[in-house]
Amino acid sequence: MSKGGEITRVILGESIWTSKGDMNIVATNGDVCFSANKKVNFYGVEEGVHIGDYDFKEEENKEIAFSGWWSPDYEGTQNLEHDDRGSKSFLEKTVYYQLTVSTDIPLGTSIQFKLWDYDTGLFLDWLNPDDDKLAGKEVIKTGIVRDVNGKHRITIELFLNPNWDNDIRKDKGAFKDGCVDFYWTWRYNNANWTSQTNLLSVYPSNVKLRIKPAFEGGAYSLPEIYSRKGYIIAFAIDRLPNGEIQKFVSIKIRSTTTFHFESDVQKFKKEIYSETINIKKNTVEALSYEVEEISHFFRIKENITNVFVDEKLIEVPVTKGSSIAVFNKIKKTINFGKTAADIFTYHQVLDEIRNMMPEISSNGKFNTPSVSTVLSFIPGYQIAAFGVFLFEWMAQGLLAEADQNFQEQMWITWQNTKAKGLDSVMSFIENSWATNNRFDKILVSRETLNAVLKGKFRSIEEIRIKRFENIDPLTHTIITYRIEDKELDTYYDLVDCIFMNEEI
Amino acid sequence: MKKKITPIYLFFILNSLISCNQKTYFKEVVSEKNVTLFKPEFSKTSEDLIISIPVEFNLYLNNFPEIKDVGIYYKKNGKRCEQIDDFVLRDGKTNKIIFAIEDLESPNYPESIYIVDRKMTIPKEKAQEMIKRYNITTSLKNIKSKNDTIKLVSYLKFKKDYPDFINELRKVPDSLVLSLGLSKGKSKVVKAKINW
Repeated sequence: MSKGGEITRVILGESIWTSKGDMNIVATNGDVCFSANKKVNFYGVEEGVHIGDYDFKEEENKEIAFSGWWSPDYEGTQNLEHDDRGSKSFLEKTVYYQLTVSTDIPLGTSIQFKLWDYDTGLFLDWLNPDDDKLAGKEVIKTGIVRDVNGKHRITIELFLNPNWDNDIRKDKGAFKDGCVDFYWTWRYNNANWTSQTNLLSVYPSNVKLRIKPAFEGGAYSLPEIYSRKGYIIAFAIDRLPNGEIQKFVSIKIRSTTTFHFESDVQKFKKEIYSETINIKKNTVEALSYEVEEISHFFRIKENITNVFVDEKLIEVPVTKGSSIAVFNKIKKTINFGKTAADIFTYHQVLDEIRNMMPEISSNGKFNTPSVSTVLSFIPGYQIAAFGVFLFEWMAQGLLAEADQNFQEQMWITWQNTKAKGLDSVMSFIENSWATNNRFDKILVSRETLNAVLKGKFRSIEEIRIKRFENIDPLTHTIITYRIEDKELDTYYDLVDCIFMNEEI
Repeated sequence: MKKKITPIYLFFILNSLISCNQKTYFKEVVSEKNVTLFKPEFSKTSEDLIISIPVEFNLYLNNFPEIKDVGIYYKKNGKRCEQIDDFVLRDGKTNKIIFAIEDLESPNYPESIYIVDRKMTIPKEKAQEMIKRYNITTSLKNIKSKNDTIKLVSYLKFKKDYPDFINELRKVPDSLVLSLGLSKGKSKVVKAKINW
């Protein structure tokens, strides 16, 4: 939208302007001039040339009107929650401002909107000026007029940023009400407009259930997922020696079970590979994992006392036209397909994971994970002496520090317990430390689990209500505990991990 | 030189002597709510019914503004029960289901709650005997779907009429545990054995 100025067109060849309807050239405050070096022609084929007064009033009668409302959906067919203040919503939600405009405002018109927080101080606006900055920044959105069932409308999407929490908390006190009230201002046709009569009250986030991501700062925020026996189901992201990351798809199950050596059977069941991953530094140090197709991975020597591991890269040419490749560890096959749904038959794969599958390696070949695979796994620490007797050695003054050490050690014990499987976890969560942290289990169906991972359930209450209404087979166990929100001095629930109830 | 170490148990004894004022967060009461019969959600033997004996507690949580979060664990016959599948919590005043006390906040905690067990079965013959005694106008035939219930009598009376039944419940200890999240990241666990 331009404010005003000059437009000069210089065309070296011929210039022809054609309009299928009327064409008006209007100068509201000055002259209109037609000049030519040779001749100026006027033609009116049907009715000739008419010279007379132009009716400016007609121009001014164009109707400019705006009528708006807030909705939770883009189409504007649903309603937001209401209280006696009007429409309300919560941080972390996305709302839409629907603005019906008069049809005299053409389709495709672009208008800029600025968001304000309406502050009242005992009906005296000057006491508490409105705020156009949220988390220190102006919020400006561009709306484009589109056609909705013959009407002209602008729809503005607004994500209620959780960063605006501070602005809500400032809004507490004598004149304040624990929420921000939003309205828009915009400018059209040299006039200022506002939606002050249609405020949206925004309250702090009502999300009470959050998921602890297995990766810190990764693209995926999935929690740790375990099989019943404690095998981790993880995503492998392949990293080449030169640091380049090649992403590929794999559902890989690892275990740290120990093996037995049977001399008459040429099978080695031994913990033969060690490699740990330092999650904090994101480097490979040592890790243990089970290898099934042992013949791929080691050479047998005479008079075996040692086993040497030699990891081979298996290069697999990709079937033309496929966009997903998956190595099925149990079936020991590689499947290709157009969609992940074609491939995941054996494992209980969650829909959410399917949607997150990245595409195959950029070199067109599928590589099995190299040793520098980064996985979501916390290395097992060795707990030395642990237990109540530790405290015998501390004087009263050191109790606080001892408490800190105790907490840390219990957290590490918890990490190790998960790798032991669901049954170990079930008894662990009943111990006094876990009870103090309000550890709990929730058994859910696959459908509920998918909804939790997608953020559709915002609290434990919603999960339990769903269960009460719907008895689907319970396929997974979610482990949660409470976490302190220090700033708000309250607590919320965190999904720590998910276990499959059935062994696969 | 011998290192002087303050034995930790002395500290604990001292501490408990000082804090003599016991805080009561909840207390079991003999419920006047009805004992009811209903059809099990998954019937292994279609003849059995579920008998629900309300065990009621008064909650005093709203008296402690430092409580920011509460979790309830119900242990029956040595096993921790799962909310919804094994039992539901109901508000003593409104009788509505409390789906997640974890999501509530002071001062809106319920003042009384009762547990409705959903897994305790009773043989058909025993059920019929109870129906005859307390609700003669109805019969087992009236329980067709999972939403049908038969009211028997208040737990207060039931307790007097069926002492053996109650003793059976007391055989393996049952308990209610509250995990309290307090202000500034502190926590507290309070337990009570269920006396039925």
